[in-house]
Amino acid sequence: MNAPENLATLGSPPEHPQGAGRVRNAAEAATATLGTKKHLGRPGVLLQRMNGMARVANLPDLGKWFRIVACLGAMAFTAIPSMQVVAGVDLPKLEHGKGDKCVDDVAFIRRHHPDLLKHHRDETVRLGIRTTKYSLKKCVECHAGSKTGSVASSKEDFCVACHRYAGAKLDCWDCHATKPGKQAAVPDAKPVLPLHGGSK
Amino acid sequence: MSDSMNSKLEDRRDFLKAGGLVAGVTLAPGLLFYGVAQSRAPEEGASSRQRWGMLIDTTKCGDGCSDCVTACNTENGLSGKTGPQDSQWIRKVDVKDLRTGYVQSLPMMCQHCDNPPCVDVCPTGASMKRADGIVLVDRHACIGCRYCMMACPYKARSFVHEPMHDQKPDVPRGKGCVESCTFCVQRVDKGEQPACVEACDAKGHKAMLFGDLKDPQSAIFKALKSTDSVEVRADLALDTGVRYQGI
Repeated sequence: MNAPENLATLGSPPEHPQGAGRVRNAAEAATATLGTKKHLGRPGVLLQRMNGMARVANLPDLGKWFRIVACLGAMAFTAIPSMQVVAGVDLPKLEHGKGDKCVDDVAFIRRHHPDLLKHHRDETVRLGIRTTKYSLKKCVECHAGSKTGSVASSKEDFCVACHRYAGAKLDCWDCHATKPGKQAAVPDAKPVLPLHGGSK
Repeated sequence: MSDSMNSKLEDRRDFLKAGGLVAGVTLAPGLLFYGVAQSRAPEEGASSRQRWGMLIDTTKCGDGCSDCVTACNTENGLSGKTGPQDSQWIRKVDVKDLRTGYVQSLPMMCQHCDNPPCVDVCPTGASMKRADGIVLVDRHACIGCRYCMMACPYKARSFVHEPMHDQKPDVPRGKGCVESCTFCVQRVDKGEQPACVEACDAKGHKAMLFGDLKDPQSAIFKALKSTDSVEVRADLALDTGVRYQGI
């Protein structure tokens, strides 16, 4: 995303290489057109061609203001596309999962996790292959949120945050557990039995 | 799979069998443990070299005992309610001989047929039989039409009517799907026994025997060879994986 660049453009348009060029060209063009037509000294033709605007532009004082307004207009026009990007929704902030890294390259997982999970689910249910690399259960064990202990209980939880942003509905959690099982290591979990066997 | 891989697997099996034999001999002479389910590698799928089955001795089944049902509910995250819209994967059934008045109690669940009628009628292929004979519902494909429930002669299947919460990570369950006993497939794939069998053993009844019907060394194979056992509704020729003795 190039949001920072666009922000800079909005703040000071002339500094942006493309934007500045376009603004300058538009301003020069406006000046040049008005100047040429003024120089021609044929108000009748101009009146026909340029309607009311040129009629006013022929007046020496008002013409200058119109050039400025035209420049501002041109600047505003070039800034519109950048504004749309900046006005979008912020990217979801995802909590870092447990461990150092994901089971595969993160970009690859982001792009292909639906296919990987779908492939894995068929292998597991129908063929009884229970590898853990692309297992949904393992995803949940690493990515359950620290607040809710779940991947899909709140808007900030790992799966929901991204899928809400993308507007893609999830039905995995109609059936699958959103929280890791008791066997899975939970960071704050205290041992059920006292470690040294003594009572306090 | 390559030959070297095969031979490695064979070696490992032999090693495990030998280990089990040694353990059996050392712990209690005459009691062998190699009849229990053998574990396989996670990347190794279910194989048709095995067929999981169960032998239920109704003479040992405790009257009024429902530990198998409770264990099933706990393992699979069922509510334990027995209303018309609640899921029951295993239920205790009392059978009474009307002439003599003799009452027998026995557990009834999915019989894991070799020719399952539920699989025959399923329009989406969701109802299926795994290579090792375990009959399952693939919920990803189930549309909840419930034809399989009508086709099952054992009334073994249930339909989930309400949205589910707090499922077990190993046992996904959800509204709109049909479900039934899975032989605790998540445990069997790890080399463990189904929860009901474990509970029955823990209670001391030992009425349920689980194992590989194709392995001549397994306890269930030997038991079936030496005792009279029957299929429920054998007239339907479904070749059930669950067999009963004493009825």
